[in-house]
Amino acid sequence: MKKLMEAILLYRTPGIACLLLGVLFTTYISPNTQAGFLVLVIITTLGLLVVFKLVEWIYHVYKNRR
Amino acid sequence: MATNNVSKAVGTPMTLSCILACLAATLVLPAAAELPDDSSPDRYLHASEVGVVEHRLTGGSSDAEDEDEEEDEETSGSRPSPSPPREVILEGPGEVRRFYHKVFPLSAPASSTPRSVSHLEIIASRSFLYRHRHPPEDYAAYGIVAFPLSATSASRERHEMICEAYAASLPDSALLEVPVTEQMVTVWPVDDEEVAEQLRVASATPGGFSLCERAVAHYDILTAKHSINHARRAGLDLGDGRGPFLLAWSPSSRKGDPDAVVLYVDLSRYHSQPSINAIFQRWAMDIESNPRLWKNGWAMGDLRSLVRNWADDLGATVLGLIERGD
Repeated sequence: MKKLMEAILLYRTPGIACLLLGVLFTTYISPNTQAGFLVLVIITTLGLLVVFKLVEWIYHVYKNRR
Repeated sequence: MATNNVSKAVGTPMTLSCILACLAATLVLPAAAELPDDSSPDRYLHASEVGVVEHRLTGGSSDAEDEDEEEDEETSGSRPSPSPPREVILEGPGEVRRFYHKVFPLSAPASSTPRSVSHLEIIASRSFLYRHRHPPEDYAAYGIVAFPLSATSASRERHEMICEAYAASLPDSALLEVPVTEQMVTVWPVDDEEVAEQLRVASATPGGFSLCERAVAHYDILTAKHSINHARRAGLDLGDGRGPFLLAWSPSSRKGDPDAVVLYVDLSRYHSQPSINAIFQRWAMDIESNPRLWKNGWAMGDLRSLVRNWADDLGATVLGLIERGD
């Protein structure tokens, strides 16, 4: 539980940003149903977080090499 | 710990750049991903523009002369059509000319009374037709809802859903006041002449979609298969999708011609009523407002509608799973 809280705190800012981006993207796509909207927001947010994490990892590796 | 520092160092600028990138994409993508409408005069021809060419080509001059005339008119700017501007034709001249000559020259009879350019438009309509009346020759263009398979007990519901969207989004051909030579009819083929007549009468009567049950039961698979074969012969890759396919030829006499230009939409991936309704609405709208789409088949699979459809389907599935869990 403590680890989860730490992870949430650690990714709070990018999490909120990804959620906002997810909502923005979903609004642009404009699904016909509410369920579609919700699913797309969740998937986009998680996808963006994964991308964020990946970029962060690449940056970390790059920095350590230097 | 290192990760934490990196996250702090990278997080804020990353987040800001992500937001900026997304905002930019939101502003730019609609223009790139969506099929442009009439409001983008630099890319699309209006139906009235097509009308101009149609009358000129049916006036008895040769194709080569017509091309010269087109160029002359394009440069002189004397044509009285205000919208869209003449540069439309100059943008991608090869494609546009091909579209003119392949699709519209024969659609109006040479003896037809000349009409005001601004009034000449293609109107999308629908009709339930018996198989021996395919393709109907008087119409400006001919389209068909082509299922590769007849309805089974499992697929009947989807067939009826598609029929309802078809009936709801396209006006009945008999109800339109414009002559059939200016209609692009999308046909639902029927295997029984009497039933076809009954469906046409019921279809022209406002209210209720009970006709769809009969229309699905009497769907004429032979005509549909012929049409799918003709589309394939014209070079369309329809894959092994379960369809249906919306296919159209203009003029209808070009059906079966390997060089014919075919307008098509694959509905294989559409399962929900709202998304199917949206497709038929767009089919009608694009026939009427974006004739340039006839050029090489319809690029219906733009990213936005694909993602929308996928989200709708997935949302319905997830909702179903949750309800089942309760």
